[in-house]
Amino acid sequence: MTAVASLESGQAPARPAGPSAALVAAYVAGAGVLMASVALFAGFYNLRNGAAEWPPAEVDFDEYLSVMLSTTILMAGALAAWASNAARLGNRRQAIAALGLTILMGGAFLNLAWYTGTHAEFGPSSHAFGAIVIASLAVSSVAVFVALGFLAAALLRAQLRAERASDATITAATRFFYIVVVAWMISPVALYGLMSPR
Amino acid sequence: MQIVVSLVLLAIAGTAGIFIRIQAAGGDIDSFDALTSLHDALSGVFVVMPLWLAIATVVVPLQLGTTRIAFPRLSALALFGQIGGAALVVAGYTKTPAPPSGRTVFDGVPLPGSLSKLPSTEGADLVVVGMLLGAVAILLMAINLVATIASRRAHGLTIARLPYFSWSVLTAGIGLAIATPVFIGGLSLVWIDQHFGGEFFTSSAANALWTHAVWLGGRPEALLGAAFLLGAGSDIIATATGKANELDMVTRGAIGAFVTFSFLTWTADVSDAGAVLAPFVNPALILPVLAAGVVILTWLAQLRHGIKPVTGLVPLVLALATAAVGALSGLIMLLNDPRGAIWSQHSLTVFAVFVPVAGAFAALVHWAPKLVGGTAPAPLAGLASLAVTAGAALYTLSGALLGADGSPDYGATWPTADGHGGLATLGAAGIAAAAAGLVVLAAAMAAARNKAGAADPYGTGTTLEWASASPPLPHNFDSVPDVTSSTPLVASGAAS
Repeated sequence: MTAVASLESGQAPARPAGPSAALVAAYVAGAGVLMASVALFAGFYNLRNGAAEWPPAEVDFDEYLSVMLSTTILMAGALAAWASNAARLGNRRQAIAALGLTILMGGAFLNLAWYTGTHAEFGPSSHAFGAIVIASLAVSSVAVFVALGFLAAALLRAQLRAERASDATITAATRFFYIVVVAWMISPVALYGLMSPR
Repeated sequence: MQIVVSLVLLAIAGTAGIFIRIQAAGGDIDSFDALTSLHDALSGVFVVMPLWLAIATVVVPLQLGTTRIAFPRLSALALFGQIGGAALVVAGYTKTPAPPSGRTVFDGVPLPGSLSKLPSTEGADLVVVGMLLGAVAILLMAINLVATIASRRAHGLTIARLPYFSWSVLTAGIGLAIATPVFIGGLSLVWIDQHFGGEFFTSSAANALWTHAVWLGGRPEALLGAAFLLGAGSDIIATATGKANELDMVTRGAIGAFVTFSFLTWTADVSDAGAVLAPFVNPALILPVLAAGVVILTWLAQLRHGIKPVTGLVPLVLALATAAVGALSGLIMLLNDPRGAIWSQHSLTVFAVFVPVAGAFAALVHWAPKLVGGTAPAPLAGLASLAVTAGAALYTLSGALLGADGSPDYGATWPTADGHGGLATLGAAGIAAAAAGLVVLAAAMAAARNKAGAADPYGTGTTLEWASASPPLPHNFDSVPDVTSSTPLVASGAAS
């Protein structure tokens, strides 16, 4: 047996550069978020096929709020990209600022989602369509909330570790946020599809 | 710690199952709803997957030649999630009135399908939040293990050279990470239903949504438990032969194929409520069965080189025998009419619970030196596994005879005529036998604890965990061997 690596507690053995654990965790968790969105909408299409009337006659779907929600989350995604690039270039100050703005914009999305849900003319109990809209809002909001938690953790690490920008953590948090944005974008696309007569 | 917690929860779930059958033998089952749901909720969410993932949390870092798991605090969080979640579920069913969510109460929709119709009570709240915590714990453990395997492998240990158990953890972990969030999302909607007046799951169409889309996420998990068994079994066989597997890529590919094909449960006919109860009725599931068969054939091919009777070998064979019992029962059920939901339920439980648990026994015994310090006594280890296999046989026989006789599934009142009461008692005896196996396993592990010794007590270990001390050092390794193949200890000449 040839010893090639002497290890101290808490150290990983030497190995070629590869993905960081945080980045892999972000991708795997992101795959789960995507899967949840796709599975729910697959179920919703199943519901649509079983509904007597589609879309319900009383539904006057306001597209303004869904467009605003999509715009807000896309802007947050752009800010996350700024944070990721700043971290990659080692610009800690810009990374912290961009992360803060991303969290603010994500918070605005959550606020708007709450407004949309509470001011809709229908609820989850009104009809299957209502259940679809409110459920997509709820699931997406939970995913965004979790992603904002990761971004906040990355921001804290960048803030506390003054010597460097914690590139790996910021990259992982922002990549997860991108996936959450994509998962949200499934919602309006699916809803437009669902609005079409059966 | 998490292994012990999972085994304790297994004992609680088994006790509930025994109570159901003993009371059924008398004709009436007090608190049937609570007992049935407690039995299903614990064994479905808090036992099988957490048990295997907990074993992986200890063994995988050793197999990778690394000092620790990627996110140790995440592991701790998952442990507390499992304990807290299980405590909430148990507390929910001790509330008065208990949540009336027995699986036969609501149109034959099994738990957690019946969760969708829980009334908004304190007990129901506790159950939903408890299961949510349990599912999150599984997700966190799966992500943690996948991240560890992807990022903390020893120098030279490529993905293609991973030990089979780590490979199965990687593939099944990705499967769990994909399937579990669907279940978590569904539980969140149930909670919203109860607290904000929603009715996501009250109409018949919406209930189908839960049953076939949300619970869908959990359906592959009935098979993913067996994926861990295939990985651990491949490592046990490799240790027994002490040689490199000539069919290495075939074994590896078949384990990956098994995990991939397990998602074919989703192609089950969604218009059939029974599709949830008996996913193996789906013809597409021949594919994962074939994949598992290929893995077992590669084991047999290795055995021709001669084997050393390592401690885990007999428990592994008995785990396969348990699977054979379930497969035989399912096959006869398909050819028989009437089949009865009770037969289907018993056959599925053998695959979803008994087989993974029997496999976990084999893994615990095999890696006992790394878990508690020494090798488990072979007679005790064999006896423990034999009890589980015999228990599975009695349990299956009970369900099969009742089903063939046209008996309905257990309910609050249950007809005991024509000797059905005795058959219910036979099922209880099956679970009790498996529970006795748990006690014997505990004795075997306790005996192993007093025998701390060589790094590789079998002398034929091929992978890196057998280069670490028994029990492992706090940082696992002082030095890691060169990894130039999938059997680094054979390549370096450490194995005899």
